[in-house]
Amino acid sequence: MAATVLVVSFTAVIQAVVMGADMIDTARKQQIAQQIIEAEIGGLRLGAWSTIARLADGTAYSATVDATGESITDTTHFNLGSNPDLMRQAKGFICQIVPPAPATPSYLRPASADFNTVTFLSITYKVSWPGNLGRIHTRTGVAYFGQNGLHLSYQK
Amino acid sequence: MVVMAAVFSTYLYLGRNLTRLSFRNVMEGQSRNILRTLTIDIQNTKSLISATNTGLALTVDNQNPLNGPVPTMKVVYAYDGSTNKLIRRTSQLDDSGPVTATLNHDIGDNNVQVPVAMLNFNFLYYITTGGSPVSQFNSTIVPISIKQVAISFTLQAGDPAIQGQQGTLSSYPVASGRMPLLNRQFLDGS
Repeated sequence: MAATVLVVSFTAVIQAVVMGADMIDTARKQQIAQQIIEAEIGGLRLGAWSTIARLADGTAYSATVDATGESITDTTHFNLGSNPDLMRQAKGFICQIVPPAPATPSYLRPASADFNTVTFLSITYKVSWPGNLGRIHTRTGVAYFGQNGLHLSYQK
Repeated sequence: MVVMAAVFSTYLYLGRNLTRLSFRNVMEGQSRNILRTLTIDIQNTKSLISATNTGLALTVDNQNPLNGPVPTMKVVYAYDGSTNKLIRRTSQLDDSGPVTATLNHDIGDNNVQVPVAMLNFNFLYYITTGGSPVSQFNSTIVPISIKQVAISFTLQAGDPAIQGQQGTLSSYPVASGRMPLLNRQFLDGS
């Protein structure tokens, strides 16, 4: 009887620890994912307009941080490699530039804009990662850029 | 005897993990507060006075007297490696009227004190060169060229020298995204 009580109580405590750890893990990785999105958007704001326009051409880009957090598979289209401390927190994270649905172009202005003529566009970042218990989580962020907008002032 | 040993070790295991869980909760809160405080200062920054890998001095717009001198205050962030604390000091632009706050603070009460140490701290700066983002982390830092700031640090709660609950150590590495200096003024030639 005593053993049964102990097993039940210990099992409950273990469940509480696992659930608590999962909650904190989720909160922490949500924060890291948001910081990755902000870091990518921030990196673009320091870039040239042509670089930004090319990223929004409807192509899907994806980069994965390796299991050690020391490298990322795509350093051409993603800036995470320039923040090694943040990358070390993001082991196994996948960062994507998501192309828009056909009816919602990422080149927003002018109408029927292309790479050379676009003046206003949106870029959608999606970050996904495996949680403490193996479940896949995702977080998405959308950034809007104007050709003569904030990013230009940072190039002075 | 074996059963009792198993029960006792399980009890210790659970107790230490619950302690770590509570420590991580505290460090999560403190790290978010540090990021929030720095982000607000960076957003309101008018100019950078000095920038090093472990310290940053800013001139910051401020409309709330509760936060420091108005309308402009000097804010200095300094990491003290001897005490493992991050200090934020606000003052008038001429350094008068300083108010100092420690951003990672120990937890507990008068009877039990659990140290929360900052094991390391680094500022990371971003400039632009020909439109390409460049980090100045390992080269000479010129404040006027800095466009974005990021930080990283590691918090640790507990103390191995203390027996009992506080002897359980838990560390928590933190890294921020890029924080743009949105409020920089145009150069006035001075």
